[in-house]
Amino acid sequence: MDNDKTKILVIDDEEDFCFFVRENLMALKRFEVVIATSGRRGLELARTEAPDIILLDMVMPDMSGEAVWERLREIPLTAHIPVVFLTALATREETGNRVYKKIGEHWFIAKPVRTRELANAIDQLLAETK
Amino acid sequence: MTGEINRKQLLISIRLAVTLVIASFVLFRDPAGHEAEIFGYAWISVLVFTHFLTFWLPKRFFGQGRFLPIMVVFDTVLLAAFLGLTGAVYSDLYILFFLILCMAGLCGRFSIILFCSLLFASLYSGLLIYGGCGIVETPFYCSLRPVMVLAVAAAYGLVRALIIKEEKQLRLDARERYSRLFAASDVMVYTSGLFGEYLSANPKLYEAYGFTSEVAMLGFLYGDFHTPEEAGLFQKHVDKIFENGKPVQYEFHDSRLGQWLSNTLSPIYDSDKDRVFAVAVVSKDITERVRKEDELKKAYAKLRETRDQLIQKDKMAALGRLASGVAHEIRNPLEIISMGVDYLENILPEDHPQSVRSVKKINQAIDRANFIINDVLKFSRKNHISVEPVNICEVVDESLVLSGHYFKKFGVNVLRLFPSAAVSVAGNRNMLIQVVLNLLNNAVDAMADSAVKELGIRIYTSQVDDVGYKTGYRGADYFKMGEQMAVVEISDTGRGMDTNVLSKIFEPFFTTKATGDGTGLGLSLAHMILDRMMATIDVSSQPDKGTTFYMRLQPAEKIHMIEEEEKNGQ
Repeated sequence: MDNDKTKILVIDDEEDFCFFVRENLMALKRFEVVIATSGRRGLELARTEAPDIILLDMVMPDMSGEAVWERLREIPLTAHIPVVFLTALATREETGNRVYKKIGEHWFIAKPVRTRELANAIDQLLAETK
Repeated sequence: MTGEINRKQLLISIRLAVTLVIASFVLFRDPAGHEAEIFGYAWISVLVFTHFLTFWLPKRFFGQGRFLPIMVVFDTVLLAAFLGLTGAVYSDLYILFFLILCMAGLCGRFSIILFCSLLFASLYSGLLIYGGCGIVETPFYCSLRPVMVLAVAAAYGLVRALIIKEEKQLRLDARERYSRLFAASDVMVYTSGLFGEYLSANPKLYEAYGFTSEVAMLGFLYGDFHTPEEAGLFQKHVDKIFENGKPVQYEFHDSRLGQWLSNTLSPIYDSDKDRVFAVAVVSKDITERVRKEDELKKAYAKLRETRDQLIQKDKMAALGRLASGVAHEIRNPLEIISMGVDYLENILPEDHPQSVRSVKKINQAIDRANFIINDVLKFSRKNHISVEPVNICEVVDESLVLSGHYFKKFGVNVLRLFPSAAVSVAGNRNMLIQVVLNLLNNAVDAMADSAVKELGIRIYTSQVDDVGYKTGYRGADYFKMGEQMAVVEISDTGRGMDTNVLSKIFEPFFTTKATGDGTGLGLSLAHMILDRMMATIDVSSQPDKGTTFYMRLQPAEKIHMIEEEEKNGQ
């Protein structure tokens, strides 16, 4: 929020994924990335960091992605932040061969996704939700 | 069981009795003179000699032939001569004639009995007259003897004749019954001689060969109505029976009658049961049974095929259950790899060609792995697939358009052999397109090395008339006999498949393509998708002769039935 970089909060229990995604997106210079490896930590950071978009893993040991999302909706501060679920269970047919898709009221990005694709998806998503 | 008593033994016994009586007479009575004595001994010698003769003669001489009557007449004359030459005319030895009469009775013919009686009576009368009846005390009784002989002979002959007549009648009755059975029989019955010649033939047989009577057929040989192989086989069995008398049964295809026949051959012995002189053949039409056996074999083969398909289906269902877990557990590491490679790409110098190439290869591998997981996941899909009326012709046309560039690139000639009128089926449009695309791609790939590249597509409606996978009479079948179905045939002129490959073709991950080319899941998925729509897919192929896939789809009217099935399956 302090500069024109997009702030992304990534909540995913895979530490290595968090490390790489942060490094790769930051290397693109237009993103700032904060990471959380648990749902609880993620909620904390959502309150304190005010991200522009949250990437949320669906399957996590302490809280499911769905549960985190519900909590985010409850907190007025975080209720309006666009949330994108990262899922390993989508088929290309379901996502219509695009990287991200809105199903119902949720946005999904299918794993595995390349950095470039992810970056484009974030840009487009934010453009659509504005 | 008079037939069983050996005629030869009877004859010998009777003659032995005659011989013994004469011998005792000759030996223990004072001869009427020197000459008479010599004659007496000569007599015994002749009799004993004839004994030896009859003893060594084989049994068949004692049948209906001439030998027995000749022997009896000979003995009659012999007795008369003996009585005359040994001066025993007035003795009671003439009674021996009655024994000879018994022998005559053995011949079974009244004429012989009559002839011998008359012969002996006249000879004996002649001897009495010649010797003069006056010598004895009771000339009256003496002269009565020939009359008595004739009377007894007549009585005996009559009784014998009656018995013979009765036996004959019984035989005739039996023969009559047998003839009727023979004639009415629904199977072919005949007798054959040693060389395969027909000795008898029942109406079923001679009519089958176009004769109007049995007589017309006799004399022909088995080989006249059969091929050399069939005749050879028959003759072989006939020879065996003549040799060892054991009945035999065998089956063969009669090319002239166009039937499968079961032949039962049995020996027919001559009346004294010591040798086979003909073979009885009962020939039964078993074409129907053979046809049913063939059908059974085919049905069994189909059953095994169906069973194999069902096993495949089970395998795929099990795979489906694994799918979600696998997808998740593998995609997460894949994501890390993907991101990691992006990271390395950033670190590594840009102008380093090997790094660039390596990164590219790693990304490709990640894509490949991802595609497989993508396809594998489709098995685990439990969400409801929507089924609606779909024009399958339009679906196929759309798939053809989508594959258009592919056909052009590989020079494939597409033969669109279905009407422009709509064929409405129950299905999911997108999934059907997916299936058809898969089949079209497979066809193009199969024809990669073919000289002629023709892809033929037929669509038609048909009635179910054959039993197969999920097709038949059972409640669980998708297609019941007599129902309507839509069929899509996709055939290519490609390299085809042998039975080994065919049996695995719907197996997940089974592929005949090179490593990395395709996931090997296309047909398994097609099978599963169609199964959800209560449709079936089948294939026929021969190496180097091309392949044809058959998709059978439910008509649109069956939508509610499919939705019921879906609900039940959830």
